[in-house]
Amino acid sequence: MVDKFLKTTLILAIYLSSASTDISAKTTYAFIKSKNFKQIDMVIKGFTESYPNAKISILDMNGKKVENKVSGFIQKEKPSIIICMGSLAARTAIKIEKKIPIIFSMVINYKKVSAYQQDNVTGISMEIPPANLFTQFKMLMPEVRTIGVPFHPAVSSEIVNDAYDILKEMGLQLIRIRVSNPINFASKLSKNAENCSGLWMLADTKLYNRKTKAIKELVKFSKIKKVPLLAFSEAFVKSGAFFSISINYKSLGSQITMISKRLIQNRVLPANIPIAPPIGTFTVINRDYMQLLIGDDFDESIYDEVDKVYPEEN
Amino acid sequence: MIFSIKNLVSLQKLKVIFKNQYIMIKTFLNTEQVISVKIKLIILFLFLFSIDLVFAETIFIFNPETRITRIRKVKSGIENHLKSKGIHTDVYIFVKSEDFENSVSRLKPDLAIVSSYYYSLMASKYKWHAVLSGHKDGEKIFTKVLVTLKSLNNPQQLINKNLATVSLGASSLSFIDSLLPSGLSTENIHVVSVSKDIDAMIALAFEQVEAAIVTMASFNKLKKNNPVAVKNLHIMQKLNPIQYPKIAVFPKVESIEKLTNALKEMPYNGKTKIVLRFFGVTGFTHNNNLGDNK
Repeated sequence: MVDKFLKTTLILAIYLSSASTDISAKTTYAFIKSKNFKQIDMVIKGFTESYPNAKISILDMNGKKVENKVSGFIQKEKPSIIICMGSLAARTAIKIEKKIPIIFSMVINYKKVSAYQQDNVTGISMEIPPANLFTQFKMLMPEVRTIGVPFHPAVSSEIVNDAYDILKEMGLQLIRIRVSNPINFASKLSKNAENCSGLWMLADTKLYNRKTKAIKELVKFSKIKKVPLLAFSEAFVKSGAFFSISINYKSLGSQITMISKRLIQNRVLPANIPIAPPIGTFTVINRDYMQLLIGDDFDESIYDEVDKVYPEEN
Repeated sequence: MIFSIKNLVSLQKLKVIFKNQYIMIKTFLNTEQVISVKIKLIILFLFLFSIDLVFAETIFIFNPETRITRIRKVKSGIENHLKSKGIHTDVYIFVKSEDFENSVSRLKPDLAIVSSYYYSLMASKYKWHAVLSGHKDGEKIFTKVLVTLKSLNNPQQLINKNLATVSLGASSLSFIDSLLPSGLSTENIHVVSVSKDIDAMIALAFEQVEAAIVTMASFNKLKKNNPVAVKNLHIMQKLNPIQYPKIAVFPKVESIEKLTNALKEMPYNGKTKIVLRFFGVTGFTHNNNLGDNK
């Protein structure tokens, strides 16, 4: 009797241990891309480098609303996790699938869409927190104390007000420069940013677009006053901004791996994983601007704090 | 224009080719014409040697953790420095380990300058041996630390938790394993790869992860610039010391002393400064008293 019990227990233990390794072997991660972008490929690469043994399948929606195709893909692949890149992919998958965990990324302004609150959904936002931005800014320019930030009230009031308190905790003062009409950008900047030791360019589409001169005026002001300007994209560093911080897409892929493992291995429910900001950043510094601000006699180890120096010497 | 024929034809073969061509020409020409051709061939031969056609050394470089992106500057810095010492080289700088590995059999490098973890990782495959080690102001090693939230005191509390650190590709997962305290590995801790220490520390400060592996210097710098960010963090453990990049010689490569001496003499100023900064060092020194697999 005891023998039989022990044998049964042993067989059960062997079965369970093999079953747990089978889970990881059979787990499929289904990537759904809204469209084919280089950044999305970098995310997937970051995922596979962090998780070399993962079995992945990829569907490209090519920018089209192909709900049936997405549905067929999910039914065919039977993934353990669906990873959506872009809002089209995310909204489509969330509409179709209510049980399989979904991780979304590369979605702008997810807070404005209630679907992302669905129980089987978690994700990573596109907004790098101000505390992250200015921690890095201070590492490069420790003397920065007051930051001037032009903003359009219809677009950026919330982010600016949230940032005000965060920067105060860091010992920085945020000078909020309200610009309701981009035509007045230059005068508003001159009037309010005169004594700022740093400038912050938001991703404010009402201020910075092809129809306004705000970008040029901001860069010009920063150079004349020799005030470092923090931008949100490498493109602006090439145009003359001092420094940019954007998302590191490979790290984003690695962060998705981390969330996936929490869902599968730790069996955490998606609803219990808050939507988080991106962890990895990609920073670019303008070498010519650095020399303008500090002169030639600066410590080159500052380049150790960034990912890329522009322009690269040939 | 400098040619590199090392991989095309040996000196002996070149002599044979010239000799055969001369014999063929001699059959069809008269004495005066033969003498003229002979003189021209000698001049051509001397010309080719005068511009040092001979046996450029091939150097492979793989140091993915570098912050320096000015690759062309690094390549020309090394090549020009060695040229000033009378050594001609072809330098290949790789960003991905797969490209490095795929090129070894094809290009048969003489020497490699690689990060120390990669040197150890590939030691049994390439059977190379380190002749020089990088140093920073005399120090051959640097230390990373395991930083966690103050609420955590024991590495075992990190099992199934999240850790942020600089890592570049799947090949560096084994490097992270070598750093982690006993009982922890990339199998039982979820690693988030970032490109620089500040990202890892900020992720930890915001409690997006429970731990980070960073250099001591980075931690101290953040502590100085933003003490609020680190108020809830502490160094749980100093990790195993890490060596700076190594200069390794591939097996069956001979007469490499001149080249290695030239690399050892690379100064931390002028155009070689960026080369050394690429490796995160201020110079290279003999790999004395260090085992090949460390």
